[in-house]
Amino acid sequence: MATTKITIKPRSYAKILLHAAKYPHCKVDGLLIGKLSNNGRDGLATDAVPLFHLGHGLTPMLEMALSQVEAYAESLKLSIIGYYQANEQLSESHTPDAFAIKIADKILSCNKFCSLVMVDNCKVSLSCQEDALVCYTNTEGKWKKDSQYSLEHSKETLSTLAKLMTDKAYKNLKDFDNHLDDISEDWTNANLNKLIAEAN
Amino acid sequence: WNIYEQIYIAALDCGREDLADVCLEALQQQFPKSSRVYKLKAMGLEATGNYKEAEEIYLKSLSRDKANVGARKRLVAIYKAVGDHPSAIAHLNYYLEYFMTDQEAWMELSDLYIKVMDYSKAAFCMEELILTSPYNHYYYQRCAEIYYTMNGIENLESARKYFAQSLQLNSKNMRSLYGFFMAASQLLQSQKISSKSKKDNSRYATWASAQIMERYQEFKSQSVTVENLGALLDSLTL
Repeated sequence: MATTKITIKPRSYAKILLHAAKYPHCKVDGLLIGKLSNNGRDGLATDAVPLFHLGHGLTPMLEMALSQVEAYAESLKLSIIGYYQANEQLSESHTPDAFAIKIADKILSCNKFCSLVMVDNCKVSLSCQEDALVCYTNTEGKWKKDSQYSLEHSKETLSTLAKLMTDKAYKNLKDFDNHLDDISEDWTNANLNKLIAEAN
Repeated sequence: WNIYEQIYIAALDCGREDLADVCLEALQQQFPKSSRVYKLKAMGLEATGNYKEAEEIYLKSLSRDKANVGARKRLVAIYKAVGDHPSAIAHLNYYLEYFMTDQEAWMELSDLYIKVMDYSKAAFCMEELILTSPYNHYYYQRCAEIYYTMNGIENLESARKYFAQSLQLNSKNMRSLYGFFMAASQLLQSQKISSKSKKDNSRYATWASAQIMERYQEFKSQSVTVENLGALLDSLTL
């Protein structure tokens, strides 16, 4: 099976880390949406949709969220191309657990492409010195580290994120859980996207 | 002195070891033989990652006094932090045998069972909570989500009923409304249910779908996601 490659754009990276920063005591997860190219082998994650910080391991809200995000992605001529997760514990936080693998497998079977992105909590800091993501790709049924993962404009992305963290931009981030608590909250985060673009 | 304790814990949360040390020293001087201060010292060790030493302190406290609730709960927290879910579950079960009215503990145990994918035991914990607080809509909602995750006709029907009860107690619970819709539409798509059951579930799903769209009516203009929602719900109801 040909190897796949994922490139993560600044907005996606920022939203993943901001989601993790907003709920440092919880496991957070979400989806990556973007475009596929090179015969469906290369993925470009243009945006991230933060999903949950509570109630992991339970399916009803996850299924509803997956359907809604898929419809949203389609309306932008994009598709769901990945799943990200940031665990609560510090050590070995970048190893995918059974839930991450199940969800990623499901996305892979529906969309034929999925990048499983985990956050390495040891590399997360206010100053954002290093890229904190570890990406996994599915090779012959097993999820292995993706050696071809790249973060677009990594230096600028990290310094933009450092600025956003200091400005506490994560307070503006709304995930699907926030939306379920109050449906006036916009889980597509149009306002935050603007903030990220301005900070760039 | 309560303030000292609170600042100590806050300092640990923020990584301010210097401030934490000052508070702990003051507390130790004021209360030299206190088991409560001893527990705070162990929490400090936890905060710096010395889980082994903290565990020893808690086990020692428990050997002196089996009813030391604080120490037992911190032990569960340590096992959770290092990812040793079976030990956390064992200790929490032991605790609940003696303190069975502790609702927070039952919730925590339910979460731990979900983490290890033992959904039937997780549902049992939620049902214990429902027995103690039969008017708490959140417990019904959580229980329903667990049954939905377990899947299968009977479990989906239980899920639908629990979601319905949750909605009856709090009609604003969006998760329960979505959950009720999802359970009904999943049952609708199953081959194994009777035609009467199909009719009923179709009614439920249609009702729920209308309710959901009504809630979103106010925000229709704000987001494209609301338009998509209508189409999505229709496709799942057919």
